[in-house]
Amino acid sequence: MMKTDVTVIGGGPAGLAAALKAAEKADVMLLERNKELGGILPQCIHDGFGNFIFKKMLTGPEYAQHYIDKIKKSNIKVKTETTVLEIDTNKNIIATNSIDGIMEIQAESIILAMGCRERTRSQILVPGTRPAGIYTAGTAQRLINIDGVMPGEKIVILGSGDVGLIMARRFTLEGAKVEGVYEIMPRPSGLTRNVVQCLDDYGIPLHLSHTVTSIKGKKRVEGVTVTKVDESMKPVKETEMFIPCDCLILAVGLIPENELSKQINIIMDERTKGATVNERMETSVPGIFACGNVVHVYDLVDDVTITAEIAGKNAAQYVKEKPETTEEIQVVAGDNIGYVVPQIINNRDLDSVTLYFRVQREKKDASIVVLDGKKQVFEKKERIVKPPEMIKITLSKKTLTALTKNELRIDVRCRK
Amino acid sequence: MNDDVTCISCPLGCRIHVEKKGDRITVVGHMCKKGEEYAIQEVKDPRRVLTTTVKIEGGRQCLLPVRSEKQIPKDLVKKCVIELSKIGIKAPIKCGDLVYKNILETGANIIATRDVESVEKK
Ligand SMILES: Cc1cc2nc3c(=O)[nH]c(=O)nc-3n(C[C@H](O)[C@H](O)[C@H](O)COP(=O)(O)OP(=O)(O)OC[C@H]3O[C@@H](n4cnc5c(N)ncnc54)[C@H](O)[C@@H]3O)c2cc1C
Ligand code: SF4
Repeated sequence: MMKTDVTVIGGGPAGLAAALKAAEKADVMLLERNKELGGILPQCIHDGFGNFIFKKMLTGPEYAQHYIDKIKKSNIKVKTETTVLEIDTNKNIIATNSIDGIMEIQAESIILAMGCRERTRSQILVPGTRPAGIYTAGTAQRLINIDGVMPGEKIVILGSGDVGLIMARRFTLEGAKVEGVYEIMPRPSGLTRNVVQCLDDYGIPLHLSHTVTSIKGKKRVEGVTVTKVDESMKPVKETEMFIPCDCLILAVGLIPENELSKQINIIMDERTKGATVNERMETSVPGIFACGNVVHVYDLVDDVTITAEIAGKNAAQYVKEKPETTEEIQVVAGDNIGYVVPQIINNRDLDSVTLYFRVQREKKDASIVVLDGKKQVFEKKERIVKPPEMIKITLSKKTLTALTKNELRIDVRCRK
Repeated sequence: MNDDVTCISCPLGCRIHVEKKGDRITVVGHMCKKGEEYAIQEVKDPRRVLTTTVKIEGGRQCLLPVRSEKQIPKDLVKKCVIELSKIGIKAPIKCGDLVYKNILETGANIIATRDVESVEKK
């Protein structure tokens, strides 16, 4: 059996940053299922990463390379092509690879950084046959950018998530024809800048309030039927249209990868589909931390790195001395808020705490307020808030020390 | 000339209206200075960073991701991607290495965006 202070599961941007931070104070082992480190970044060859941390727009591979270089120089034990199969509350880890076979690792602390996976067709229920030529956007991205394989020539994209928008542009640049992007909601689910740079720039049509109702083709996709939907999202039969294509791309969203977290009954948040965490990024199981897309799906990798460093620092700290939980302040998602992370504040003797959340509905002239019981302790004005864009607010030491109640509530209100 | 552009400089995505009368350009709808600059640039000479892949031989993988060091005219992005699909380079490559100089006379160099080690010959 191997022993380490801290074991990090997953070598994407979250795992890399957490491992590096923890390694400043503790012995660290990093386990990654893939051949190489970097998570999904190596396949995200477009620019738009690191604007916040590096003050420039890097591509995904460049962003990853920066941290991979640091890992190589560190004394972190890295095992790639190693999949973690099981974990338990005593922090025993069972992992496997082709060299060591099945191995057992005893850690003092674990950091979960397994990222997220894409929703697939079975989760969104498009009826019809199951021919070849249906891919999730992430799989298509991997095929084109890493393996050099084109999944098709005439493409229909279902869903307007960011991965789908970025792939619409990529397909076009590689010579394929993207017939259109079909989104069931009345607004795009990806960021505005991606709609502009990826669709508008290339004249790719975005059809809102539309969905794919059936897929034609026995061996290979021959086409799809698209239909407008009404306000209650029901297809309007008369608007059905057949579009010939040889490839259907699903860009219908991401969900945290939490098979391992569920094995040990970590308390999960129904809304984020990830573990609930406190301000140290610690889950409900003491000494088990989580960071990155396994907690909730972030828009920006910069925020993943920042919160992963919090997890890394505290995991190493946990190895030295187990902190006492002095109190429990619940952070509650109030009016027009989908969810808030962290969900709990256990120790408010900190310089600051940053809260991340998403709104449920778009609002102009919004005011974000934080309430300690009935008392307003924080306010931030925003010209506009939109569901696809994550919002963060930072509570100062002064605000934190003045709190009196064990519930902190965030509301988004209209100023007019 | 009249034009509507969506600012991509921040997540707000303001719709900005640009009017051009002779040499005079007026901009409305932006909420900050960045947006004004973006909108003027966007109607005068829209530019984008180019990202794509090129073939690489003898490496641990078959494709090398690359980007333009600076923005290039939007209309030339596709042409440059086609140009880059014709070339091939050899491993090893370091992140930041020059891959193609002054692509299509745009003044922008194409650089590698990751390391690719060569496969050890046995
Ligand atoms: C198409 C696309 C475009 C994006 N564009 C941008 C952008 O322009 N700007 C930006 O800032 N951000 C962007 N992002 C977001 C950013 O890439 C993510 O926020 C970030 O990669 C999340 O990092 P992570 O480490 O949490 O997850 P991941 O990168 O998914 O890494 C998780 C890792 O864990 C490993 N793993 C999982 N389970 C196990 C197991 N059981 N055992 C061992 N290893 C395991 C996986 O193999 C993977 O390598 C984009 C994301 C996508 C998908
Ligand atoms: S104009 Fe300013 S506020 Fe509006 S989208 Fe552009 S950068 Fe953002």
